[in-house]
Amino acid sequence: MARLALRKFLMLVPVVLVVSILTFLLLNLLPGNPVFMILGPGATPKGVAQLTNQLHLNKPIYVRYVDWLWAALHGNFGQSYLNHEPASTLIHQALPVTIELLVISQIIALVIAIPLGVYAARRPGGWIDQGSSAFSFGMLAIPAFLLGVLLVGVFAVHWHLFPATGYTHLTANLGRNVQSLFLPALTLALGSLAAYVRLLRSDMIATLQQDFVTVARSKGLSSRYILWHHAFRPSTFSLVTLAGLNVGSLIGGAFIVEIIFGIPGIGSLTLHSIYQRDYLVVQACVLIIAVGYVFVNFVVDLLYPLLDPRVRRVVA
Amino acid sequence: MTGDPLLDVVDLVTHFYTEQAVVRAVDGVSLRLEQGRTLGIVGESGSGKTILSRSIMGLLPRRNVVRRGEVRFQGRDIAKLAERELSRIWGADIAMVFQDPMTSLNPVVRLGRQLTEHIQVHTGVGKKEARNRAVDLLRSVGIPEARRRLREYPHQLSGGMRQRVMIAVALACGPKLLLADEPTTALDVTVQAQILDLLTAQQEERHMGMILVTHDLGVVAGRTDEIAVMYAGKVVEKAPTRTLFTDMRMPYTEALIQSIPRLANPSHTRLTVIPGRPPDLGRPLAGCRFAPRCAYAQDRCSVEEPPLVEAAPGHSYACWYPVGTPEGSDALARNRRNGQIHSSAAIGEA
Amino acid sequence: MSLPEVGTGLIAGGTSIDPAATGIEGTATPGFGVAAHKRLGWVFWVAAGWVVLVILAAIFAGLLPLQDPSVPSALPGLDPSGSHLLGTDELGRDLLSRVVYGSRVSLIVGFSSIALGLAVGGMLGLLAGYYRGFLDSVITGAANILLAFPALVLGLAIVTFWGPSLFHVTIAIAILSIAPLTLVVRGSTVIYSEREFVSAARMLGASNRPIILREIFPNVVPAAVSLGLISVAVAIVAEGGLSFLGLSVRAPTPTWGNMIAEGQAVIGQHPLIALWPGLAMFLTVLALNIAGDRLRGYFDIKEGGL
Repeated sequence: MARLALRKFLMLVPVVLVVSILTFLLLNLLPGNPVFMILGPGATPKGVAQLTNQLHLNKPIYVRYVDWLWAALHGNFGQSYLNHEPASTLIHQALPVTIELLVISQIIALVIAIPLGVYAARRPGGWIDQGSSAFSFGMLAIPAFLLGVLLVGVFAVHWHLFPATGYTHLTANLGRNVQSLFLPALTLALGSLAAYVRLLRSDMIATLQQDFVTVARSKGLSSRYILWHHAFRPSTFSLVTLAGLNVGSLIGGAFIVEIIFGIPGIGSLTLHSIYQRDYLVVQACVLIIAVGYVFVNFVVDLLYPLLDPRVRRVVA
Repeated sequence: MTGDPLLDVVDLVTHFYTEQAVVRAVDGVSLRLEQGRTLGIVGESGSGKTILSRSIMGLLPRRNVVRRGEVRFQGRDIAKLAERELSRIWGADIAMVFQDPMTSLNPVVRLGRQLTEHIQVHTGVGKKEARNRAVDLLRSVGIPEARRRLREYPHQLSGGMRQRVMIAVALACGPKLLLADEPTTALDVTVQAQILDLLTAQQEERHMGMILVTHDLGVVAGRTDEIAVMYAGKVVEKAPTRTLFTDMRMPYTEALIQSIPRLANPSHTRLTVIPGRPPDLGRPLAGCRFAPRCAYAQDRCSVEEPPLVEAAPGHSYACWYPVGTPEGSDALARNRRNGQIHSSAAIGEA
Repeated sequence: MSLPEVGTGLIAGGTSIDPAATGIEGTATPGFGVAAHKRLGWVFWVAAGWVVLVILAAIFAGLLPLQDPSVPSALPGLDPSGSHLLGTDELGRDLLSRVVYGSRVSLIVGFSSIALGLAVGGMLGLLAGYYRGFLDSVITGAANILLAFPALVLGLAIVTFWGPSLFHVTIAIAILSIAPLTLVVRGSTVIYSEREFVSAARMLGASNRPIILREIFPNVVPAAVSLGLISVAVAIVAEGGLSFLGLSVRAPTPTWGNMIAEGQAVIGQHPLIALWPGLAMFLTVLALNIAGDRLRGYFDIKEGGL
């Protein structure tokens, strides 16, 4: 088992390497000299030369890449030219916020999706089924930013239940932390919902037709017990897996929600850095986001056998 | 109430409503079983025997099924009960052993739980006590290292062991009636005898009534008190086991028995088969349903359906020209002369 | 054990497109009803009708009796009335005309970016799915790595550093759409390549190119069309996100995204300002999703009838 994990981990290395190359190339091949963008119209030839040197922009690109990668492996992603804070510190502060937001959002999504999916499968074509699939389909059509704006309008402005923007850190005040994250998490959750309901529904419809469900009936177990303890159980694996993958892919995808609600996560860090042409930070963020996605996928893949007994090595 | 048979099925009918037709899987079956006795139900695939056992229990799909008739279990008609009341009986008083142990156990639930869940529901004992009972059960069905097995999953056992677990599951709450639906069909031949012996032993020990449903006459030969032969949704012959084999009356029964290959025959003896195919349960014919394949059939057989009559105590059959009777032998001879028999010589020569 | 693949946030954050679902494998979708449909159904025609209506309105906006969308023509924040059917925005501009003119950007970006993406991604997918082997590994590997990138963040970076304009946004979204489209078209091509009529054609001595053109391409096209419609919906949302952040076409040109952003500031007092463009976007995206989904169901069934 450990050997398998190691092998899979080693396969990640080329992927991460390619990701890093692409990230670097992308941001360094974009038109527009970053030096001019940073210095603005008041650029002097001296200032330009100084900054160019400072940013090593006069070296050939592959040298710059290797330098950058080497530094990155040591945790040095350069500095934000704005406030001279190391990029790694900024990311270190921002990433956990995003992760917390994502985890809460997937939990909310599952809490809503599971009853919907289970009861939709119990009576396919019934009103729960039709209602929830119409609802999911509709949710897929609402862009996250629109949904966020609407939720703010209703719950924050109109009803003052939650703050419209702003974030309280987890360690500062748990209650307010959850309160500030609730609306953005809900926004993300409603978007992820559809996939869960659909997966659960089709999974469970198939499971309910299996022989062991009839056998369970014949033992005198109640429908409700059978539904949750026999039919639902195999689906939990794929649900948890999907939730994990979603967290991975949303690390970079949640930024609009972060912006709307003023959550200082890695998405909004990236965006603000883009606005301000702080390209070293942007580079670092994009790399972390991409690596994060790959890494989360890897972890989910690895942990799957822990969940699903059928996939584990059979001990003779 | 004492004096009542354990199970008394009266004129049970189960029809399935599909888009194409009404499938008459069970078309008027009556049976009786006393406590402590074993009844074998034998028939080809498509005879309706599996549906019969499910129908007796009431374990049918909720939609598009019509069931009529009485199923008296210990004097009480359970055919009238709603599923909620039936679920109190299922697992506790009546239990079923299913055919395929691979698909009958939930692959992602531990064996222990699959044994204890209904014990707890029906007897209300706590988890610990239920687990102890589960261990005893596993031991009694011959599974080694019982306590360890509780934590294992079905795929960690062999097919024969899984079926033993299924039997343990069925016996867990001490049922009075056990329905075994093709319990050995999915198993290796070497394991089949063991499982059947286990069932018989348990039945004797617990003094249960048992119904053994199978297509294999060999399975029921030494293990049942009585046998009912099913064809096309009806019982066509019912007799004490020995009588059925020595004194069968229905040509179908005769053909079934003849089709069992015998070790005593010289090698390369051609297998006797029953010509034709089982009838379509969605389109029943007029008259006797076996007529198209019967070596004894006469004109009357395709027109008038023979009733099931109890010609001797405990022995009923439905045939106009039964085996071993003057009318039957005449009919057979007539068909032979007219060249209407194509099968091999074994039929008709006892 | 194969894990369901979750596409990246090509949509502006939050929702994720599942390539397997938009693909041709015929998995269950959150559509109306349980059984597959043999006909397109009235829902399809209503959805298609809406899309056509929006397109026509966008094209012929100049001919319609609409106010100038960039010029204030009344008091700000008015409720819907006879002369301003949807009311006015926070600067007094007519909302109806802004919504109609705003659709132009969404539609142009949506359709052209996906057209480009399908052209490139479709070709790559066809090649990968038909030839398999090394070419397939390279293309699929590249696509999967590209999918690891935070799509919209990259789109943002591109647009920011390059400068916001209709053209840049279109290119950015087109580039980002290539990877998922390639994978889906490849999947469909693989399915068709393994079918008997292709082996038959090969055995008859046909060389590869005519097989691709004559046998596979016509079969992949219907699925690509439905995939395309759904992708246009995604692209419209992506552009909406970009213009919400101020990174698409600049004001005063109205786009649905920047109208929603403007409306966000006054969501408490004048919710309609954000609501109308939001509704227009929602209906259009929904209609495209329905149309694409129904088309796919329709072609799947015909498939099964073979």
